[in-house]
Amino acid sequence: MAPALEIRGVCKYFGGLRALNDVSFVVETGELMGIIGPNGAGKTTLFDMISGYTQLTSGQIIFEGADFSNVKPHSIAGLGMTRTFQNIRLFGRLTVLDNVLVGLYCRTSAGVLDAAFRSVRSVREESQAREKAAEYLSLLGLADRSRDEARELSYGDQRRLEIVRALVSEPHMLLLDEPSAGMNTFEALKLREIILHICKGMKKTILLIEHNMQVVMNIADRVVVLNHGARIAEGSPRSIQRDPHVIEAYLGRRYLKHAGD
Amino acid sequence: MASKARLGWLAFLVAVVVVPAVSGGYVGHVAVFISIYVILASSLNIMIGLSGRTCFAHAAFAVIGGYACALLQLRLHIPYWIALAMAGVVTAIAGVMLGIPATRTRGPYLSLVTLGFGEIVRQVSINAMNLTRGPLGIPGLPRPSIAGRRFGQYEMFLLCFLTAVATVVICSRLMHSRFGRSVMAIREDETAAQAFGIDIARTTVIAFAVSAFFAGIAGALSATYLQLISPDLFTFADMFIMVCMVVLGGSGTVFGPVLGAAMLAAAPEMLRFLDEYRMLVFGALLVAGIRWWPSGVISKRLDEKLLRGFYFGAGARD
Repeated sequence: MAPALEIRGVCKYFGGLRALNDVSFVVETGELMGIIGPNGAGKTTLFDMISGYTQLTSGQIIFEGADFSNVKPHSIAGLGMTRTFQNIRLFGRLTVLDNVLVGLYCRTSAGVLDAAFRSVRSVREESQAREKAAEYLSLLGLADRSRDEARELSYGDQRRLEIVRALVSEPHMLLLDEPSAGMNTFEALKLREIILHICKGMKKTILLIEHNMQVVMNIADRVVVLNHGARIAEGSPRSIQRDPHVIEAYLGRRYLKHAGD
Repeated sequence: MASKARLGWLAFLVAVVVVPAVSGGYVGHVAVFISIYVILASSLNIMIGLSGRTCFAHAAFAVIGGYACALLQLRLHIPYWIALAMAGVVTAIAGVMLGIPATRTRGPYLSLVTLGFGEIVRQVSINAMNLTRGPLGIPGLPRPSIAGRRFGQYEMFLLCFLTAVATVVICSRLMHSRFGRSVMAIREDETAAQAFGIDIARTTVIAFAVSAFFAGIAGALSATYLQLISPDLFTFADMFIMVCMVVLGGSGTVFGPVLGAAMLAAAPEMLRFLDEYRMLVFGALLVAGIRWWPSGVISKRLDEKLLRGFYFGAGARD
């Protein structure tokens, strides 16, 4: 079986700045792959290229065996990949339920005329969509907030709503960009269980950018480390923690001698 | 609760239909224009309220609809009812033509593009003499007839009123549909909207087209009612009033633009006793309105409540 996602020699130059330089790795189907790296390492740029927001300078991205390089941002959801954003990007003045229903946009098809004349097909589609949205909202414990505006939610709830919105269209693969950012320890641990459940229980492939080592090192199957736009290490969380390149990137050269302790 | 709301709406509808019939003349004339402005404000709300794009082309759309309806009848001898529908379609196409370049711009730039479009329409309607007869306009437009009976003022009112009700119902359905949500999602966050499959350009152009369609119908109706189409059927001043109707009534709500249209279309008439100070006071009232209801008279919450009554508590919203 083809891997879920293949990154082949991807480069992104902004003028003279090499944001990503010849990065390659493979995410297997059903795997929970973490991406870590210091600030400015190019993690979010990589996400933006996978999801079509940023054009590749060179290289290739392959999703489920098909070329995904320079795909349009609005076509990835329909192809089975959704994402969350580093800075929460909810539809603030829409209700929680409507946010999730927008998540189902790519799985529904009613147009303007369907809505204007309440076609039988669109009424059925709408009620099915609402049922499904409610189901996913209760899965992450947001069911009782569904009529509130998204901007009224607490920070942690907003992060979880972003995940519900990305999950409801039943994608094969989820890109999560720092889902625990700004959460307290308790919330982050709860989120860790949710992500693990989505990957292993609901059988989704997950690519996870995360700064919180408590989260990523405990649940990721493998971890890729980026630094200054280059892939400096890849492997199990345990081996990554001992990798001299990683220690140097995070802590500096003088901590190298403690490696392997 | 449901039956009370039902009675309230029923009483309102009866009053609206009966009063112009009884009083006729002047009141009937105002009632026609309130209905036409309800159509214009409700459809403009799709742009201002839903899409968050302040579009200044609505008067131009109405003028296009008026000319389309008149010329289709006079030049191509198309029957009235078909010409009326086609006026909407022609204007929707004009909406697409404006929408394609306009979606590339944001905020004040988009407003300027739509303002420019309005000026183009005005200049064309003034200068394309052999098509529009220029500033002279085209007088003597025939009114429709049913079963050999030509439409008088009251029949025209009923036609405009029913069209207004249909427009409000359709606009409210659109707002609570997949399409409406996608338009609002773009307003809230374009980047996130794309990630869920929404094509920003396509969706916004469709919003322009839908909004223009109803404006075209409204323009055709008022040309039919006045039996005259000329470049100043709807002017820039009228367009700013339309924007005020949406904003003062409550943009993004179903009933806000309806109330705004009723208030601002009726107010200049009710202020006639002030003679030359009329528009001065009208302007002051507008400013006061915006001061006291900065987000519109009808709030989202009140709108939801009214909607439940409108659908006779049939649970359509739950």
